[in-house]
Amino acid sequence: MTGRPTLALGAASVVSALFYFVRGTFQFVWLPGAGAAVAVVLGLFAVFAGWLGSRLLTLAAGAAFLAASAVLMVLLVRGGFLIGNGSAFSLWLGLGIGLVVLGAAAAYETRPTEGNA
Amino acid sequence: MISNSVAPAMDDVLASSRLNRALIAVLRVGVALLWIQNVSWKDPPAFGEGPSPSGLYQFTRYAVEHPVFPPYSWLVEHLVLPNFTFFGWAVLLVESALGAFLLIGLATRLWALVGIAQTVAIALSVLNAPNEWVWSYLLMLLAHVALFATAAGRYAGLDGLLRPRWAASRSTLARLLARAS
Repeated sequence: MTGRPTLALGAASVVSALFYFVRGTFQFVWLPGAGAAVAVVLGLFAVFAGWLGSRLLTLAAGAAFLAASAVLMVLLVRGGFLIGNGSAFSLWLGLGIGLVVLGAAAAYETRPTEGNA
Repeated sequence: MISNSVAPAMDDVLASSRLNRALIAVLRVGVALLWIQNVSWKDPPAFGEGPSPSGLYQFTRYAVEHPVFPPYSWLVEHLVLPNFTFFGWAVLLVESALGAFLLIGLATRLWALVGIAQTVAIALSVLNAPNEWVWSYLLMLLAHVALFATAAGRYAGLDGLLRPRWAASRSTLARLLARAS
């Protein structure tokens, strides 16, 4: 449950950092340098979690994305665009929820196995 | 008779074609990016309200300045604009969630319905405003109808991954998620 889907969500975050280089109509996500760095670091973390197939690391990566989106929103309210705007908030919210759901589903999945062991 | 013969044929089109499943996923992610990009100009906490109105506040005011449906214009004038901070946050959170959930394909059919509702609200605000193209909003509406009709989260989305266990579960949440997917 936490392998390939987690890896895919992490890879999506790493790829999203390319929006740092995009300007104009097709800049679907606005990420300044610091925001792109967050996307790469957290994305690689999720890729690592997926590669290991670790549900705890998947949950941690999801929590990190949700924390990043919360920090971003606080900065936005204060008028700062240090790590992104609403588009990055929405993106990280989705990745965070997705990873947390995957981690939680994996926990549910492993429960009977642990009981049998 | 017709429904019995047509429904399996429709399923076959998706089951037998990886390309078709991929295209539905592309549609879902594309619509998600539509919402994600358009959250970027909804700036809290003022959302464009002030001495020189801009952004979300200005677009919402179009519902009053260029009415599409008079009862909706009345609602915007007397309920939405006087409480704009609340409605600004509501729009920001709903559209952020639309982008988030459609992107990962979680509870996709539910969020497709939310997308239809939000599209109707936007259309009722700006359809008669200057330089607007009616088909933009009709196409937006139809795209969400397609996401709902195809249950688009079941293709390269979390719905497809988790739906079998939701369907097998007896918990209320799992049943709700199965219906929402």
